[in-house]
Amino acid sequence: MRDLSLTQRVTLANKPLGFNALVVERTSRCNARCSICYQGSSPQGKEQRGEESPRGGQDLAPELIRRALLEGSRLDCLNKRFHLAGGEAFLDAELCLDLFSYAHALGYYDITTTTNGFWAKSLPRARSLTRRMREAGVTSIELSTDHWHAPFVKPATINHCMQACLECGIAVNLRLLATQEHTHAATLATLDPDLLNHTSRITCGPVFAVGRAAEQIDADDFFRRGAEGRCFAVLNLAIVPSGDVFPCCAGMDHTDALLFGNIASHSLADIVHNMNQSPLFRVVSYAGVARLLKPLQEMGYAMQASEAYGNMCDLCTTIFSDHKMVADLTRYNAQTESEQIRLAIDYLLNASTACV
Amino acid sequence: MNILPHLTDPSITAQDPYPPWLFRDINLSTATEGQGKGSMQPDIPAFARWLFAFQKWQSQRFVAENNRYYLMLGRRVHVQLPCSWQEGAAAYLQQLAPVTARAGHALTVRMALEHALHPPAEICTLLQNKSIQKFLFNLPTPIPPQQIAPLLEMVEFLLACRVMPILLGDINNLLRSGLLHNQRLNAANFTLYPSQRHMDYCPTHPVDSCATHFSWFIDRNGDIYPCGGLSGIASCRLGTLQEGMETILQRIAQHPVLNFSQLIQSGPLLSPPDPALVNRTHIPYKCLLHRRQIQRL
Ligand code: SF4
Ligand code: SF4
Repeated sequence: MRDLSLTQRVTLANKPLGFNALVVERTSRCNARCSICYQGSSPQGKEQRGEESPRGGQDLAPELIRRALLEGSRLDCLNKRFHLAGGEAFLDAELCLDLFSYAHALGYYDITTTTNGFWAKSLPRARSLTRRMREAGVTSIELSTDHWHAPFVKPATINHCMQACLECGIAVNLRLLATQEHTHAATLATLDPDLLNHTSRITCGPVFAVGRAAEQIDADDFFRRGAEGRCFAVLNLAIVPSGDVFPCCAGMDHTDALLFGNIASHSLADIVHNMNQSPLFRVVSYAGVARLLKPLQEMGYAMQASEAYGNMCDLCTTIFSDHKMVADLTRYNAQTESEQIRLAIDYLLNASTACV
Repeated sequence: MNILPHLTDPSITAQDPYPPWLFRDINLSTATEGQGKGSMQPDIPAFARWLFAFQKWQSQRFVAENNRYYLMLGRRVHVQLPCSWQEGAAAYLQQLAPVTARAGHALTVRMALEHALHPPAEICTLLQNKSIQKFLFNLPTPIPPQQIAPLLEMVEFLLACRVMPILLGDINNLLRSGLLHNQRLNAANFTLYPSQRHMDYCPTHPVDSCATHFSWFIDRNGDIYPCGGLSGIASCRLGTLQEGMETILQRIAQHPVLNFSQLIQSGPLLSPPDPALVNRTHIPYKCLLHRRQIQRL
């Protein structure tokens, strides 16, 4: 972090964080138990190494979600997009509809959700629910399907879901994941080609070695892209089932070593303030999490080279799951900061002596 | 001073009353003028002047508005290039890339496959320097067999440069091409846009907020529209590249045809569509209806 340019330092110190959406991960329960699930969801809730994790079956209370939506509608650093995710949020479809309507009434103009589409078992059922979703303000859905979802949600169900959404005007973003062995082409070949051709978008990405995927998928099967990159432009305000609020929903939301506040006891505005005030998180978002590798190595941690990580979020999840690492980094940061202040004072003193 | 008083309705956008927050993308729809090289429009110096004036206005508002976050947003510039590299696309992109980089914006390029293949050295350098964030290929149906290998080669080059490829085309066609079996592509993040999206279906509930569709849509004449769906309709123009930001914002606030408050909150008010109307265009059904309604006025 000592090697940043002046502009980077100014950004790092001053630029307010902004968020693309309010993401609510209402539950970690899911009808499925996919091997690639980074959250480790299951019908009983979050699992770690095949065991139910503490508070794993806990769902976020609807009144807390409503409060977050209300507070979020007044935050100027939050784009007015509400995204409801899980686990599988549609285990309680009526609650989902209620939350969509509430968000719509509050002025959120983009209302979206992630689902595996399990509820679209028959076309009439799919039509009935999507019509109600549309009336409640839903603009688009992210429909997850691939080799690992298929045993739990059949391709025919995904087809019903796509068709019903097309008929009522909900945009579908099909989300696919792949490994070396299971490609996107193989998934797409199982779905109705005509519906695929009418869908709004198909977003493809690789599976990373986080969550249950790290436990169940052969290490050689993963793609690795390296941990370089910055995430300040893709942040979301994400509330997890325990009520803890994170600045993203891409991995850090499943860690517990750097917390910013819980929606049950803090206002969203205070939590955003805490995020803005966190030097460690500002480095991650504006300078890139890979910046933390060198100090960690200097402190004696056996970190791998940046290229060995799946992506930046993979490294981020590794670091922020480790309480000791986070405590050491916080100390390191404070030390660097006082060093910088001392250097600045020395510089000013020298400059004023030179003037005299 | 509040430039857009009617957009401060607390039920809509209490905290972000400025459309610039919503107009995140800048779409440059270019065209070649005559046959000569380097005669593409809109003119880059005019675009650069407008962009930097916009930035200046934004920073002034940022200070005046007590550091409102949304006034500091970066933007994405999408440029659609209508000809081959040799016919002027390379020269245009070489001029455009430093302008967007100086403004701190990301750049996405969109080209027909036949024009995009075999980029010259100067474009490869731009890609290697990360001056371009995403590259969209408009694929023909079917993809000519002799273009598959160079497409794969270019996609691999983009991935090596960390530029995200986007493929717009017929999904069956893509599956048949073998492209989606490529290991490098499967290891990367990329997007497919199906060729028939928006087409054929007449949704029962077509209308929703236009907030996510808004952009500064700039056509070959330097005319600015609020979205691609209304481009070319003179009565929907927001201004031109020659005008200052304040003038354009005033026009948005008092637009004679478009009620932005309504469009942001819930989309256009449309009369019931003709049941026989089928969408054969590449714009969403609601935009087709809105466009036809305005053109009938
Ligand atoms: S690097 Fe960390 S904070 Fe940034 S998006 Fe990834 S998981 Fe979230
Ligand atoms: S409905 Fe009209 S204003 Fe809204 S995005 Fe479409 S064309 Fe533009």
